[in-house]
Amino acid sequence: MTEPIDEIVKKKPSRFADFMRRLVKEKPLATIGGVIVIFMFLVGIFANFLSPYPYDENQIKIRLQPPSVEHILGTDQLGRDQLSRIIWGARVSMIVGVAGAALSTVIATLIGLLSGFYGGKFDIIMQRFVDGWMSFPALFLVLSIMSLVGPGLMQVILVLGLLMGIAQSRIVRSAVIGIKRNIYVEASKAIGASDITILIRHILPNIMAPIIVIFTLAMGTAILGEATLSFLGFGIPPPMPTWGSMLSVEGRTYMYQATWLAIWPGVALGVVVWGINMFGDGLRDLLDPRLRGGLGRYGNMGLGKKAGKKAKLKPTA
Amino acid sequence: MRAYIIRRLLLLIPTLFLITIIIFLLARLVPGTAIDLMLAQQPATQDQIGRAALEHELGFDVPIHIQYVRWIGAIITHGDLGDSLWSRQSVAPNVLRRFPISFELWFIAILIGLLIAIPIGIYSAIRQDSVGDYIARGFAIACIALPSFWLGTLVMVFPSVWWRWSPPVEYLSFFQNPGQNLQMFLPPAIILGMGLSGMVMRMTRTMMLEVLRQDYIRTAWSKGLTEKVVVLRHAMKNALIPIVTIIGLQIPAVIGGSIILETIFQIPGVGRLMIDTVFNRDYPILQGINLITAAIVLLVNLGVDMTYAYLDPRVHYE
Repeated sequence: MTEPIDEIVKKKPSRFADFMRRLVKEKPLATIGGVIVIFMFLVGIFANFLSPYPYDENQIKIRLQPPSVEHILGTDQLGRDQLSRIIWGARVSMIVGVAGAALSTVIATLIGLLSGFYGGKFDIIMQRFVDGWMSFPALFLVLSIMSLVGPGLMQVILVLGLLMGIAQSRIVRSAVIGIKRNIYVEASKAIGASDITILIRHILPNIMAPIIVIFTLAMGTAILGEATLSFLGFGIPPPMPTWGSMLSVEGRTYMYQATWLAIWPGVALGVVVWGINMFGDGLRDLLDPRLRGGLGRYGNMGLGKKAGKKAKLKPTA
Repeated sequence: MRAYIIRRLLLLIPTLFLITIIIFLLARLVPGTAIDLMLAQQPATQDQIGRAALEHELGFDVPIHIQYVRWIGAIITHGDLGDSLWSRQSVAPNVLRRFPISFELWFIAILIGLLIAIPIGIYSAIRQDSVGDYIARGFAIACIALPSFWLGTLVMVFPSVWWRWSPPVEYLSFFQNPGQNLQMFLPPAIILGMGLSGMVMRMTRTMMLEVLRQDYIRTAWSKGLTEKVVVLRHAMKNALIPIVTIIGLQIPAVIGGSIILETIFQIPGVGRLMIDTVFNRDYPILQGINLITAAIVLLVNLGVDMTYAYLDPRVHYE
């Protein structure tokens, strides 16, 4: 009698595999986005093997050369190979994206968990603080803080992580408030579980979906934020190449003679941020119907024949 | 309604108070940096002013809470935002002079953003899953993903290379020279507006899709009303509340984005002033800009809440 049960257990694909299958099948654009993100990670990790030249090799003799066989994307005002600099820029973007998103997710989760779970006075005070924080234009706030802590990779990650984390704590908070009304939370309170146990065992696992989405979307925001800061000269100092600093004001005088300098860093940035956003949107649709921005498939039902038919053919989401 | 507005305005006071604390602490977390900068930049020929004397002169020698009380006291009693650390000029007139310039940029940007977003969003909803819908949604995501500083750079570089045209760099107000003024403001405003339109377009589409499925819309169709009347009069007004909300939420992003575009297009607005003061750590100006901007954002949020009552007769404020 035990055998068939084993078989059933074996046949059921793992949650991860099932998720991947749904992603590819239902969200083609999100899949493309995911592939772009993975590609950027690989480029970033293996930058030292992939880049044909060192990122800081100045060769004044070959400065501002248009794209050629040796320098596929041309060279900049100091004769540095632009392709190599874009490849190294991927590493900076990857580090800032992952570390900034991780920090912001941790901060958002901490504030959101505590504020949502305990409520009361703590929540009111915390939320007024978040209100005040969010009524500044983010860039004003970032620039104010960056002017104090000075430029640098670490500073950029800390500032962006803090800023995004406080703003995103709202999403975690509302998710926690939704979960804590559930009967199983009450039940574990009744059997005398401590607050920490309830938070970690019951609430945290149930808000993983929004947390994963927050992490993904924060990565895009962090990458764009770093690029903006570096563009304005408050981000990561030279000679480390970043996509933002490659487009910066100092470089612009040369772009009139060498238009390729104005194009490729922006293309890299745009494609990566687009990929992350598409991937994050898809993840959100698949993981958490409550957070869904769009209407999803069921929204199409009854709205014209074509969409209705589709929904009938594939009733499971 | 009036009582509600007054109550909301009163509620702004504690929020603004909190904001002044954030602004003040932000500027003072690392004390003395402006002093260091000044001491380092003193011309060698001049009599060297000592650190203590300079700190006393600028009011940095007292504990931080007293500095705060002094700052906030001057604002409350006679609207004085203090003096610039470098030029020693009064901050308030200096900052307030810049706001109308930026305001024009924000206004045109929001106008353009809405002119792009709402028609395309509606079209995208009433022709769901058509080719046009896909193109519109792709455009919306592109608006969000493409960094404004890159688009700004492209607009500066390529027209100049191809057609020898570049936006004017000398600022003239709209009333002095409308043509030159618009040539200067339109390119950055369009870029800024595109960033706004991405979000608004998506929200418009989503809300219209939801509203268009409601029973009363079916009734409107069955009464034989034209598409224009059904979509614009019956559906649009009911879809507007979340759209207005998202516009309100995007205002800080528009203001923040203007820093970048004012820098690229050399518009002498608040954003440019911000960048300059951040470089030489002129706290009083920084605090002044942040405070006024935050107040504007709070008032916009209040305005957004007010429009709900107009858009939806069921919403009452008491």
